[in-house]
Amino acid sequence: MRCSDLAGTEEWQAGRDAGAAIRDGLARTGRVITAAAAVMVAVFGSFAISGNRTLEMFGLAMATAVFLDAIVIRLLLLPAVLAAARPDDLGAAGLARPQAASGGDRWRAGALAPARLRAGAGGGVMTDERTLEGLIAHLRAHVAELRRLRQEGADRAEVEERERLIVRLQEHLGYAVRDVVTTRRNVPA
Amino acid sequence: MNLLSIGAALGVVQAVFERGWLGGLFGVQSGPIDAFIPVLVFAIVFGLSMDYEVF
Repeated sequence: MRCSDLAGTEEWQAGRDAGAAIRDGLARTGRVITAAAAVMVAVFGSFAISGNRTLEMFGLAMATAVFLDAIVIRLLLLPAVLAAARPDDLGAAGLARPQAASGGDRWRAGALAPARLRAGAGGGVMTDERTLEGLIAHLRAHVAELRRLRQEGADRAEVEERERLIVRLQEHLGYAVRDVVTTRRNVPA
Repeated sequence: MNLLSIGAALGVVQAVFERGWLGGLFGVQSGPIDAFIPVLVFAIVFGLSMDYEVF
């Protein structure tokens, strides 16, 4: 399990379709993971030219492993495997979206945990304008998708699931709006 | 996925240190690989990957 998997998983649990979840997960974590990999390759690479045969073996192996894992596997293999696996079709195979995620950042918390939003409404800032915009964009995308599904005469169960998702999202948007309004009073201007 | 990167890395090490490929670049003579290197590398890479959830 990698950061990029985790970020993608968060997006996925927030109701994004699989392709967008993979793409955005990679985009959000790409910089820091690539930087970490570059640092480690540099350090282990310096072992590889140390002159001590054992140390050279160790350094070369570690540098190669980290480089391959960060570049080839994370950037090429992982998205390809996920796209080939098409988790959209695998709802019954243990990849179903949970109702709420335990971790994640505020965006995700805002989208997924109305209870937490309510609990935090009087306290610290839980939601901001960006959250609202994200939720609205999210809602709009799902409505467009629903329209498309209906036009194509998609499976009844699929349409109903999408409708439930939209209703849930709309409730979350309501909580988020309330959260923004109530916390703004506490924040000095 | 972990095994893929570890396997590939150990393959590279074998090519360089046993077959002597690119030996001039690294300045090494071809010869046996220390027995503990694969074990050590597997343990460390697996640990990195599982513990920090990065690689």
